[in-house]
Amino acid sequence: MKVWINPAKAKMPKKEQDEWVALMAKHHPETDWKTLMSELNATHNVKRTGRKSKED
Amino acid sequence: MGCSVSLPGGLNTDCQMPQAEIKNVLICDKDVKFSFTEKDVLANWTTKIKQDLTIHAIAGLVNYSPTTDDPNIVTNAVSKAKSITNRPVPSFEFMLDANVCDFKAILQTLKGGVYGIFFEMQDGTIQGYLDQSGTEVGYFKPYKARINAYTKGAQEIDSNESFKLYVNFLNSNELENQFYLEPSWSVTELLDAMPIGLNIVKTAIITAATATQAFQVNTRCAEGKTGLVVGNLEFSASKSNVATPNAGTFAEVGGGAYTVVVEKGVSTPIVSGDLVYMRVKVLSGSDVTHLSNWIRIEGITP
Repeated sequence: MKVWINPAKAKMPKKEQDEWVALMAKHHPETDWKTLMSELNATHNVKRTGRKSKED
Repeated sequence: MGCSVSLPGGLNTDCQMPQAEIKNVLICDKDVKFSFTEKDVLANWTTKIKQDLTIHAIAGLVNYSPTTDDPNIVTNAVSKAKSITNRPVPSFEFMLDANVCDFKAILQTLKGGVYGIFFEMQDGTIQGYLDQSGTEVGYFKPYKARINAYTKGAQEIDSNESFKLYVNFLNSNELENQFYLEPSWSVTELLDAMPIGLNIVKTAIITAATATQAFQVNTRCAEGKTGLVVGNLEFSASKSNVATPNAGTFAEVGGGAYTVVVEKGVSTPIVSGDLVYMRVKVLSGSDVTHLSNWIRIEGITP
């Protein structure tokens, strides 16, 4: 099952993004939300490593 | 009371064609209009059908009956001369020949609102009226009417009159200015331009925590519609009570089944009290090729 995620989620602060992934994983465990979000972040060139931003 | 001059001479006695019967009705937005030159061009009609979505449906008629009241005739007590004291506005009952899925969409839509209505006549002409006053003189327009759809639930035995449209016109003067458009094209070409009807239904209660809504999309009374993408979903900002309703995620399960996470604004799932209207609208360029009914999705607070 191919799942599309709104690209706006790539711009969410990491904490909120992680919370959303955890929520989706809890209620819809049939989908690998962590991998999907990583792919979305990569597609939109979002760097989640290194120095944390203020909002993170 | 009209005090016009008497009927002028010049009747065309060489052209004594009986007035044609109605073959079909075209239901449209009440504000649909064509300038005097626009009305003759097929593309101007098909654009309203498949791009503007302002001409909605060409209903198949099996029968109809005028239900206009007779005028009230009174007899003068002294002179004994009769006179007419009112002018009832015309009204009709149309019996439709539609499949149950199409008629269901009609039932859900036509609940007494004001629409425009053109008649397709048996001779292929289209009847509406030509505006003769105001700022749109010469425009070809549909009659304005209040339209209600009604069903008895199923056809009675040996009957075809259980699926009805009640059409009550609003203005007599529009019918006085009736105009027959004789197009060089056939009204069936308008049918060909209509989007394919899809039926969308919710298949489970929304997941409270994530606002995930499961739904099924079928071609009306036929197989599931597969291959839809998130861009085929349309959220109505005007019908919904939240700002910027949109999809957070979208997935095709298979066989016409889909799931969507319904959000408001940026990444906020809808909650109790929020309602969002969504439908499927598939475009090819600017043309709408497939169109569904709206579904109303209500949020639930976990």
